[in-house]
Amino acid sequence: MAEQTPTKVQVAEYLDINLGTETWECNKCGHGLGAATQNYKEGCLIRDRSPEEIHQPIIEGEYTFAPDPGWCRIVECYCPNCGVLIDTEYLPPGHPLTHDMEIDIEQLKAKHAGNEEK
Amino acid sequence: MSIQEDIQEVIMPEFDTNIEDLFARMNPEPQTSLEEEYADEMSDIEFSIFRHKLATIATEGKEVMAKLGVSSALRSEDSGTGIYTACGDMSSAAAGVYYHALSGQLPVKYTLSKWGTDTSVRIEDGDIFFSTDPIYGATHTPDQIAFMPVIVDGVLVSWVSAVAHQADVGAMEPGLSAMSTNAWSDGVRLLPHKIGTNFGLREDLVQSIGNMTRVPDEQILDIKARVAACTRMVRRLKDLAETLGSEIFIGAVRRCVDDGRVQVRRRLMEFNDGTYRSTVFIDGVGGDMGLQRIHCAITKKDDKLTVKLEGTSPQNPFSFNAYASMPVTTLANPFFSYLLSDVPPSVGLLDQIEMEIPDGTCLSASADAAVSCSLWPTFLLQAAAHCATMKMAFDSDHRDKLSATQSANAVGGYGVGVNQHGLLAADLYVDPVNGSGGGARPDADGVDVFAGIWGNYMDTNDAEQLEIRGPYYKVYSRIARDGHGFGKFRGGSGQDTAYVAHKVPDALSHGTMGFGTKFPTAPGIFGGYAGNTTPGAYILGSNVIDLMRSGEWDAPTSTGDLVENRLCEGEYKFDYATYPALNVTDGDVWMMVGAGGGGWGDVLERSPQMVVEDLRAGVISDFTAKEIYKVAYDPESFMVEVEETEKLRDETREERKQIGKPYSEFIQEWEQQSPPEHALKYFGEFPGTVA
Repeated sequence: MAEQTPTKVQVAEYLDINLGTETWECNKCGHGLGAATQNYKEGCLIRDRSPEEIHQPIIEGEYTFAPDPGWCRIVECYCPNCGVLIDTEYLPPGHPLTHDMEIDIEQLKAKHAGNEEK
Repeated sequence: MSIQEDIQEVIMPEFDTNIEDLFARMNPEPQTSLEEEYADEMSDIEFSIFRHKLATIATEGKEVMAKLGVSSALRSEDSGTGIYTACGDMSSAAAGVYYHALSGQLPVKYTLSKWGTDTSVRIEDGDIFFSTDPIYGATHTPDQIAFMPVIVDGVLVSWVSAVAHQADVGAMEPGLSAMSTNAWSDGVRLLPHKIGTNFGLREDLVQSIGNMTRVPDEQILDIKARVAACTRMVRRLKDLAETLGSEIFIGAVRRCVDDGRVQVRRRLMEFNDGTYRSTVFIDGVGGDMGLQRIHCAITKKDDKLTVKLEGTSPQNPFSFNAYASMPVTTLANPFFSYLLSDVPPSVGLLDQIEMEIPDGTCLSASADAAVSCSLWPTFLLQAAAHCATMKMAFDSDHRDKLSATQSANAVGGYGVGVNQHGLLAADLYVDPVNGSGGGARPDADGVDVFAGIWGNYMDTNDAEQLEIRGPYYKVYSRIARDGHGFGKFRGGSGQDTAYVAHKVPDALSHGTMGFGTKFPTAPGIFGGYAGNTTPGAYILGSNVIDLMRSGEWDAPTSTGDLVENRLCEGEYKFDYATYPALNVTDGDVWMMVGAGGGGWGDVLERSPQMVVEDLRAGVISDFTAKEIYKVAYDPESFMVEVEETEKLRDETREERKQIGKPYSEFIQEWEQQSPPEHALKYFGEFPGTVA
């Protein structure tokens, strides 16, 4: 049987790239997350969290055993459809989010040409 | 002996000791005419056996150093040995710490270039060389390198090195000197130079080096341990070269570099082209607290990587800086221990990497900068590079080699003074750093009490040996509770430990070195959370020894348990992970909570059964099980309440969708925020631009 180019390639735990539409998709539910040439975070729901919600302080004062919420925030990116936590970033407040994956789509297509869908 | 003409042609005329250009010399030199002529003398099978012999010889050298060394770093194999071509390119290594072997290239090349034809020095069979200069491969002053040529029948065929961290190097503070403000306060800086001939040390020189430190006897013994490692490797390599013939040996040693390059290229071709970025933050600079950014953008195109560090914070006035020759070596661990873990390590890797470091950053410091703690920003770079390269490799047949970042931060300590036997002694408490947590994997949790980010193959201290050598003993040693990044698979936890001073004859100088108190440094990946943060913590004038004597001491389950419940009397102190040296005496306690690796994936996808098993083992708290993992369970039987757990998790997913904001709306509000001004003292322009 002739091999077919897959329509989707999983490039991260919760991210696919649809080679046909050249878009990001949620790997859990297939929800579209925008153009694959852009940052997938632009298609996510974003939340700013105090790190103390995740890393519990043990004592009060300047050194609590937890990150300092004034210096450090947790930025979470969710799939708008299924709510899976796609990415977390620890950033100083106001620091730009990272464009962490900028994949060469043409090379990705060439690489997967002839592979069966995963 | 005169250096062969073909080597002189390659390495001698062009060696530039300008600091900005040195990292270019980390790349392989061109083949010499002899290397080229004898490159293919061996069959593939013969070459494979040869390369395995080199690895075995390097490992034997490392074991010799560990057995004979005195300082903790040597004994715990926080060290590296390397085997090089006659021109100084790394052909094989044993770790310990791979970057030690990689950076060992520079002193070898420097020696060839500077002293090879200098009639007052020269390079002879049995010569022993030594260096502690961070500009020429020592990475920071405590990373001392012994290295020796391998000469057979008057022909230079190879070099070997043995590198390990020394506990005290006569800096302005004992141990690592975080407070150093310039290169002259970092401790002994010795250019690559000869300290022995004919396989024997010059005792006058070795004693002089010892005399520059606070603890001469340890320094001298540890030099001898490094040299013993080198002489063992030289003996083995000479035997091998004599059996094979010098020319064939030279060709095969070089082939390790070229074959390594071929294998690296092949592996890189399997990964997706693109640009992968990661940004991490360190929360101190040595003598002060403040945020610095380490940013890397790795562009992979075919079989080449370009690593750009634009956006990394400026050089700071203390010692959390590194010279430009060092950053590229930090890529050794993500590659040699993960993505290339099935490929023999060689400098062939670096031939595929181009690194662009702007001038004046904390990773391209000027020659007069303090670099005593150069490792800290480079560990952060390693964390960033680890994260970026794992994303690069996800869509490949090598997913099983991936992990979230292992711990990059921790609180290590040191003690220097007269010990209970009346002898001067210095040591590092490497347990919480060498026993940091591993990163979570695609199909498994990270390993608890694994290793520091700089090297996967090293141990923690042997508690009995530490207690024999220093006036203190361990109060407890645990796997840190909640000391890792949470996720579908969690990071490994670090070691949580404490010491109490006991039978201190006079005063013991104790301090710590670390970071990651206000900002964690081991990012999670694919939705996983980062590892924990770790402050400095100690108790002055505790009654722990009295409690132990009376049998009333109930060892804490964690440092958190000790400080939260005040399990002993005394003055409890908390500080940044690096606090200045202080004099401690009997009863004083210092606690060091190791840091853990990053998590992998969404916490709501973690098996509830794994959650309650961690809870039962004390690796996570009740808070984490309930509030992070959203697992309902019976607190008596630890049985998971399946339906209630599913309900809690569904509710949490819905809550995320309610609270999360569309990107543009989020950014509009987010950009109005900034950290407090005092946190940005050393940051550079905020937010500035990154590659």
